[in-house]
Parts: sequence; C-alpha cells; structure tokens
Amino acid sequence: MTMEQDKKLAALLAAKSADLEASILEVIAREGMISADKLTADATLESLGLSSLDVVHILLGIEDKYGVYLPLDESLEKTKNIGELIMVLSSQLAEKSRAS
Amino acid sequence: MPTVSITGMGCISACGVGVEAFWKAVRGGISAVGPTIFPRWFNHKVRISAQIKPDVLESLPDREQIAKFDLFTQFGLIAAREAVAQSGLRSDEVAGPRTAVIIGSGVGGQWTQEESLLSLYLDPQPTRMDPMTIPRIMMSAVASHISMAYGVTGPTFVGSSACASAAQAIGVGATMVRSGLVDRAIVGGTDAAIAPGISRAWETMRVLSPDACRPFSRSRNGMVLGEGAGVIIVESTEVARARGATIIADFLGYGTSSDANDILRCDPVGASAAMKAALADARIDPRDVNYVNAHGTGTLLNDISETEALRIAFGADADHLAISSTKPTHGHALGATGALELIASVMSIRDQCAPPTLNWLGRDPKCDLDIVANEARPMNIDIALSNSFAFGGINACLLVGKP
Repeated sequence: MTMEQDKKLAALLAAKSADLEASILEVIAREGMISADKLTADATLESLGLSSLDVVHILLGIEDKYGVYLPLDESLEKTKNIGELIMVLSSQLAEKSRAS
Repeated sequence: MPTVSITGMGCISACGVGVEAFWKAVRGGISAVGPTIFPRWFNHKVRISAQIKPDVLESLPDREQIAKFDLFTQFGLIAAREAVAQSGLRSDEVAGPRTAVIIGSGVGGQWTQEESLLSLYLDPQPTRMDPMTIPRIMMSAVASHISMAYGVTGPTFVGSSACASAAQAIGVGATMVRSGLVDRAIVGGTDAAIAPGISRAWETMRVLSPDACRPFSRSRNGMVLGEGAGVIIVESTEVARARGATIIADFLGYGTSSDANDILRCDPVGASAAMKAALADARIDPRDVNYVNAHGTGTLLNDISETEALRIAFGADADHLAISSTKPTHGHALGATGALELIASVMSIRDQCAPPTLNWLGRDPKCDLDIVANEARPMNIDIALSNSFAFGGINACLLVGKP
C-alpha cells in the first residue's frame, strides 16, 4: 500500500469502527452498484443480487482505496448478509494493517 | 487393444531442471515458492510464486540455440530433451511419421506478447518489432520446435484447455498410440506465464494466495502460480519391448469431460465423470487405485468440489485413497501442471511413496478425505490417478500403473 493509503487506513482503524464501516459500505455501494439505503446489515447478498463476481469487484475496490490485497477465503465465502460482509472486511483490513 | 507404456520423462520447474531434482523436492516437501522477480512491477500485491529463475536457464547446454524462442518453448525443449534421452530412442527411431508431438499449453508466448506490446504501446519511439514475434508467440511453436529438433514428421500440434492442457495432450497422444496411428508420442505441457501483466490479471480474480498454498486445509486462501514443462514419451508397449526399452510405468487410462456449466465455477459432477471415464478406459475397479495426485489448487472452491467429485466417482472406496496435492511445492504450472503431476504420480509408484501436501494446517470438514499432509507417506502404490480440472469446466484424468 502507498504511505497515503496506509495512513488513511490506520486513521480509520484508530477511529470509531463506525467510520471504517461507513467507508467500507461506500465501497460496497459503488462496486455493487446498489443505492446505500438498501445496504442494511441484515440485507442478504442474494436479495441485493450481489454475485461472487460482485464480491471480487468489492475486493478490488477495497484494494484501490486502502492498497490491501484480500483473497477470496472461507470467511468471505460464508458471508450471507451485508452486516457479516462488513465485519469480515473490517477485521481482515485490521489484520493486514497490523501485519504491515 | 494395444497397451501403452511410459518410457521417458523430463521436466523443468521451479524445483530445478530434471525429474530427479523435481521429485527430490516434491517427495521431500521442499517448496520452490519464493519472492517473484520481475523486470518491472505494476501495482502487484501478490509477490510470491514458484518461478524458474533466469540463472537456471543460463547454465544449460545449447543455451544459445534455444534462447531466441519464447520461454514456454524453451521449457518444452528442455523437458523433451531429458524425456527422449531417457527413452533410449535412437535418433532414427524417434524421427519420422510414426512419432507424434502433442503438447498442451494454457497461455503460449506470454513474455513475448507482453514485452513486444509494452514497447509498441508505451515507448515514444518504439523499437522495431522483431519479425519473429508471431512465431515466438504462437502456441504451436513448442510442438513445432520439438518436431524439428527430433525430425518427427507425424501428427504435431498444441492443444489448449487452460489448466487441463497437459493432461489432455497426454491423453490424446496415448490414445493415438493405442489406436495404432503412431508407435509413440512425445506428450506433455508447458507454460511460462509468471509475467507481470498476466500475474496482475490473476490477482484481480482473487484466487491467488498472498502467503501460502494450502490445498484441502482449513484457512486456505488460494493458489500460488508456478511454471515449467513436463514431457513424457508414451509408446506402444509392444514396440518398446521389441526395442529393449526400460518401461517406467504403464499408461492405463484417460478420461475427459466438460461441465457445460460455468466458465469459472467447478462442478463435481463433471469432474467425477472424467474420473469415471478414466477408470472405465483402464478397465479397473475404483478399489484398485491407491493414490491420487489431486488437482488441489488450494482455492476454497476447487478443493471442496474435488472432494465431492472423488466421493461421487469412488463411492465408499474414496476413503481408501491417499490423496495429495503437490502444488504447494511446484506451484500451479497451469498448462504444464498435469504433466508435472503425472511425473510425480509415476515417481510415487517407483518409490512406493505418496508425496506430501505442504502447508496443511488442519482438516476442513468439507475436504474430509485422507490427505497426505505435510510429510511423505511410504505406502503400496500399484495405480495412481492424476486429476486436472480447468477453468471453462474442462476435466482430464490420467491413470498410471506399475509396469
């Protein structure tokens, strides 16, 4: 990740988790082409029409924004709704940020 | 029907040059995965692979003669030289219309493609394009150069089915021998696709692991790219015996199928159909198979699907199979991988030892077969199955046995 992305992510992780969640939600809305008001925690990926290719685009959006590579692993594959997706993405971002 | 035997094998991979170096690493669990070296980086995030480093090639004989070809052709020629030498075929025996050259490649001349286009697109004053660019890039170049090197005038071509390319080429070549169309075939696969552009494309699919390939393990998160070539001489058993050749293994069966389903997502029904077809082709019972060198890419979905496919094809006998994926050692060599893994299968029969699946951290309940985890396992192996499953839903399975 670039130094700028690194700082941005570190600041988000240090701030309230709500800020990071909002930031991830913005990526999901943009990459999934879904209006933000439909992205409630219990809305399922299926009901929103989010395919596995959309999830890949969300991961690419995360990479563009934070410079972090997240592979398609089991925790992501298991996510059923937006709340779970945000939780998995934010915890993986935190893990990567610690590792770097 | 005439039977087919294997009388020669050769390979090059990140584990080194030659079958013995390859098998030493595969059996010993010495992974060739390490930092990738590129002449230029774009925005890459994954920086590990099982890459053949340039200094390995520079020390090889005939270097100057083959350096002008794309890397995938060089790999194919290096592997073919070892395989033909081991077969003991005289130059007048291998030459002529009774030999075929059938090679698989998933990608072809990727480095030539990337380097030539980079200059054309980006240099303010592009260097003059090499008039030999097309014959370097074309996928069939490797088969043509092998045919020229040995004077082979029989059927010669390259087949492509992504990661099943090598297994398909081997199966098709063996079928030609069995049909009596030729006496022998130089078969296998080659790919040299750890290049900057295509590596970045692999990354964007999110199937590459950033840290380690862990087939069938819990916490696995993807594959690691590899490269190289494996070449095998399949020969009519009768013809091989008549010339006094040493038979390394018997080629027992080939099965292939298409999922006709999804361009990426694998289908256990299609994969099991290929395994069943290989068993039927070899006329053996599922219980006769001892060891499976799995496709085992280490992606979440492949390993679950392959487990299901093995259960469908083998039924209750699936629990008696020892299964390993050797990809954590040599990487996923794409269109070459089926040949490298068939070589590993033959060597496992020779040494009566199943090679290990490295980096295994513990059982994934959805991959509940007997995985040879982390350590090699000495065991009785009369018959081994090698699986290759490709994007596009193309499946190819090969069976080999003790001679």
